Amino acid sequence: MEISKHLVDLVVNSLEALAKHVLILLSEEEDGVSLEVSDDGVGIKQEELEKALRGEKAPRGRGLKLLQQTAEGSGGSFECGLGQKGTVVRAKFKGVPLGAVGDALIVFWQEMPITVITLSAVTKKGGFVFDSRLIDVKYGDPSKMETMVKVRKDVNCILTNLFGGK
Amino acid sequence: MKSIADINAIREEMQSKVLIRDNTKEGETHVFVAMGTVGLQSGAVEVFNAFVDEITSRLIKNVRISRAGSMDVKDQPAAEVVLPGKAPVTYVGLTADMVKVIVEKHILGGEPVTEYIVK
Repeated sequence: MEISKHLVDLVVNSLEALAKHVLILLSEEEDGVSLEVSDDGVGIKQEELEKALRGEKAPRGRGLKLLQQTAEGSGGSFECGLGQKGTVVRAKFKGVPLGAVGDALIVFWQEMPITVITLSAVTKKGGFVFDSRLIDVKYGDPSKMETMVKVRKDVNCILTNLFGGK
Repeated sequence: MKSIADINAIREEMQSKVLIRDNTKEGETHVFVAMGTVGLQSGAVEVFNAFVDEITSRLIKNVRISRAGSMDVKDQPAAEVVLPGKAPVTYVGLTADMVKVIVEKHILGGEPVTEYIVK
């Protein structure tokens, strides 16, 4: 499964944990791509996380087992950190396609006015930051689907340039 | 260089292709796309984006596309279409091409596409 689709699962988890801010970091590594998603939500309990990673039905942590399989299966790594507040999921992928991150982001277009989603991407070619609070400044009315189509195109285009289809 | 007449002809042709449905008074049509983990693997993001493309490129008004949880339809992208005042219709095994048909026949035409409906 493409990295962008795992991202959808992770952002859904953050939203279900009532996060006010979801931070997505994508970076180019020597031999792959790393993804980190952190939030300030209510977090996940250790036993819930263990259940989710065993593939049992758990109230939280959806898609984590699959993410672990994709990341570790590609020769990369996976870790999920628990804090007092919030959750951090880090995964490193080798040779897994990034996919269309813009397509994944606009799935959350209705949540963005309430939950801030920030995406930061860094590669050797340069960097890019998307912040849902700045949609109206850069793209137009965030409550309109047309605006989100612009966001999608921009994010897809810039990330494809930065990561070169990695 | 195109003449004014050419441009007008193109405009008329385009306008006839674009169907505008403004149902402000009747309320909104809702499309819920299932975004369960299994749905994601089988193309739910593509289906969501196909609805967005179809609705925005045809300038259809008052259709809200939202993500939904898993719809319990086994390994296939699914979506629920709710027209104002009508019962929800659930479609399964969706592809981008099927989304075009649903927008044309159900969302614009008001008639559910029976062959795609979950049995």
